[in-house]
This record gives sequence, structure tokens and C-alpha cells, in this order.
Amino acid sequence: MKGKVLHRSSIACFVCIIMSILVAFLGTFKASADSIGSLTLDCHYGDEKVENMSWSIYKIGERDISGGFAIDDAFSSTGVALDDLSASAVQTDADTLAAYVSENEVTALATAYTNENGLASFSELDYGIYLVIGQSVLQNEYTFTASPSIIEISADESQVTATTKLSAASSTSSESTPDESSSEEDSSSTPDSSSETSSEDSSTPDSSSETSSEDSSSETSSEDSLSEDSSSEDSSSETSSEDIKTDTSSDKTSSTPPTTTTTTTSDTIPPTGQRWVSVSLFAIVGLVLIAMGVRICIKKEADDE
Amino acid sequence: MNKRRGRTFIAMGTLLLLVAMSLILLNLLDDHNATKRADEILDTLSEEIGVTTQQSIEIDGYDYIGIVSIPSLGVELPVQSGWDHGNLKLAACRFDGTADSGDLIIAAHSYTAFFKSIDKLNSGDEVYYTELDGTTKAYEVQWSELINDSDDDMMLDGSDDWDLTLFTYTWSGSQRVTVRCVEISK
Repeated sequence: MKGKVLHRSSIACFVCIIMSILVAFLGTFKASADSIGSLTLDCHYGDEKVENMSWSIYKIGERDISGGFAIDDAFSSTGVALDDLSASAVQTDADTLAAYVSENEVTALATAYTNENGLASFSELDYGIYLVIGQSVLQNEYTFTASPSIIEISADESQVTATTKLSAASSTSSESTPDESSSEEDSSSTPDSSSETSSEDSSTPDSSSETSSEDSSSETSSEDSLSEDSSSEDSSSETSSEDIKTDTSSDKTSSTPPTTTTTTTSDTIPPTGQRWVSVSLFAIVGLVLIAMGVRICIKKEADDE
Repeated sequence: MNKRRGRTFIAMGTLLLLVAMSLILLNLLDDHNATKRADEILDTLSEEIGVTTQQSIEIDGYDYIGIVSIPSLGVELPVQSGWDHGNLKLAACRFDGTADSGDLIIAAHSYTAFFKSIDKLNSGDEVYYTELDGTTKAYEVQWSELINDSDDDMMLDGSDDWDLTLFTYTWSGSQRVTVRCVEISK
């Protein structure tokens, strides 16, 4: 009886060890390519490509079995459910989530900066629903501000390119709230058709590019009908972004691209380093087990003698 | 029966040791591959330094903005524009800020050729950051500190006191070795 109990406990121990090994190895390998996608954000304002704009990405949920959306527990308190997929509702949800992220210093999954083509990319994204938040950037005497967007990466569309919604404010303008009429009409990632706004000379300085989308995924198509007027006013970006640091050296109007003035605040710091802790753990436990086994065998032989 | 149990324990222990050895080999392989890739990227990037007027260059789908070098450690690494888990296996990554605004933070894995030895830097050691336009900024290490894994604020804080920050994880992964540098010209 005692022998049976000991035998069972040995088997249980063995199973636990195998499970631990599997967990350790699974943790070191990448996820299957079948459930991985990528996202490229295209930041243009008219013909101008916005460089060095920082974008942070947050996973907010996934599709559930019924085809609806299951929002992660971390964001459940926001009340966002993505029940209404109209353009305005999705934008409102995106704004709500962005405000929550800011207030609660939620850690980002990753951060990327737009390159000289105005593109920022995220790779190795699991299928799911993501929130992207851009930080304002000063470029060529304009401060470009991005609206947060909700984007889905799914099996139907795993390599997503989304055109972001940008507004511009002259850096010499006074501070005032951005023109929200343009953003409210626009859709970021909704099933409804996108609407467009165009800026008209100096009276409506804001204009934005939109994405048209199907379901909740974002698409590449957008149409810019933007005109940039150097005499345009207000639409300050300061109210829609936080902790903007301005690099005084970038206020010059030189032909070379200005240096970035982006800041990030509460993005998580990437976990650098290698997994040596697991190595030590396995080695120590392994040595202990070997020592125990050897002791048992020696003792048994001694008893037999 | 006891002997059978003993043999079982020995077998389990041996299995675990094999797993540990496999992880060691995996880490060493990662280290080797990362060094090799970084060297290749560095060669390509070095050719573009001072030639291009762009703020970033795309190499194999990743955007690079400059080169960080630490002569006292023999470290020279390309710096990517942004970071994620994939980027960090290839090069150092800009975590935040810029060189011109004096709040640049660069992160890298603790691979041998990356930031493994930055904890050995002493005050006065020099660090250089070269941008794509050929501008090289020289920095001097002022101090090093260990910052807890969860203390993001402390990492980002105090940019008035430093112009460049380098960091990587400690061996255990629970803390970050953080080196603060001040631009020499200031």
C-alpha cells in the first residue's frame, strides 16, 4: 500500500515536472504564425508625411465564440463594449479607452515611431482588437495630433495598414481646443463608410484623413482632401496629448526635417535580458532529485546487505 | 521498490538537467545570432551615416536612427527607432526621447555584444551616439542605478539631470541596470 502511494506520488511529481518543462519551452518560442498579424500605421497630412510620431499599441480584446467582442478585464471598467460599430460610436469608444489608458498609466504592448514615409509598424500581433494612441509631433512649424483608433487583427485580415486621423495646428497659434467636428464625422475602424472633411483655407484649419473599414477591421483606403494653409489657426494639439515637450531646436524652418519632439509617458519598458532564472531553477531541482535518488539507492543496497 | 523510486528520481533529475542545458544552449544561440545580426546591420548602417538626410533608414523592415558606441566596453550597436520584443533581438532600441532634446533612452538585451556589461561602466566613461546625418554626440557616464521592474516613472524621470540613458535587465530580470550620461559639450 505504502509502495503504491509512493509510486503514485512519483508519477505525479514526474507529470508536474513535464508540465513545467513544457511551459518553460513554450515561453521561449514564438507563437504560431497562423495567429499572428501585423499593423502598419500611415501618418499623412495631405501630402506631408509625418515623421517620428510615436504610436503605442494596447490589446483591448478579442472576438468571442459568437463573433462579438470580448473586452479584456483590464478595460472592462471603461464600459466600452463595441456594441455599436458606427463610426462615431467607435471613435467615442477609442477616446474613452485612450483616456482610461492615460489616467491609469496602462502599459503599452509596444511603441513605434513613424519613419520618413510616415509609416509606423507593429509586428507579431496576436489576433484581437487593439487600441493605438499617437503622440503629437512638431514638424515644419505644425503640430500634428492623432486621434486614437481601434483596429482589429484577424484571420480575415492579418496584415493591416491603417491610415491615421491627424489634425494640424500651427505652432505659432494660440492654444485652443481642436476642431472636433472633423473627428466626430470620421470613422477609424468601423463597418460604416467613412466620411471626409476638408479644410478650407484659413477658416477650418483642421483636416484629417480617415480609414474606411469593414466590420471592425481597418483598411488601407482613405482619401485626403486636405489643404494646408499656413495662416490657419488654433486646433492646438496640447489639449489632446499629454506631456508634450518641445524641442526649441525644431522650431526653425530649415529644409532639413526637424528633430522629433515626441514624448512618451507611461509606456511599459520592454523586458530585456535572457531567461537564466529558469536555467538555474531546473538545474537545482534536477540536482536535488538526482541526489535524492542516489541516496535512496545506496540506502536500499545497504539494507539489502 | 525503494530502488525503483530512487531510479525514478535520478531519471527525473537527469531530465531536468538536460532541460537546463538546452535552455543554456538556446540562450547562447540567441546571443550569437543577435551579435551576428547586429554586426551585419551595423555595416549597412555605417555606409549610410553622413550620406543620408533622412532621420531613419529602413533595413530589413526595421527603422534605424543611429549608432550607439561604448569604447570602454567595445560595444557598438545600431539603434532602432522604436521597440518591441522582436526589435530587441536585433539591435538596441530607442525607448523614449531624442538626442537633440537631451532625453534619449536606449534599451537593449543583455547579450554579450549588447548591454550585458553596462553595469561595469564607471563615472567618466564615454558613450557616443551618432545620428544618421553624421552628427556625433559624446556623453560621459555620470551614475548607474538599479531600477525596479515596475518603476516606470523613475526610469523616465529626471531628464534634466541626464541627456542619455542606457538600460538593460539584470540577470534575474527583476531590475534594470540603468546608466545615466550627460553630454560632454554641456
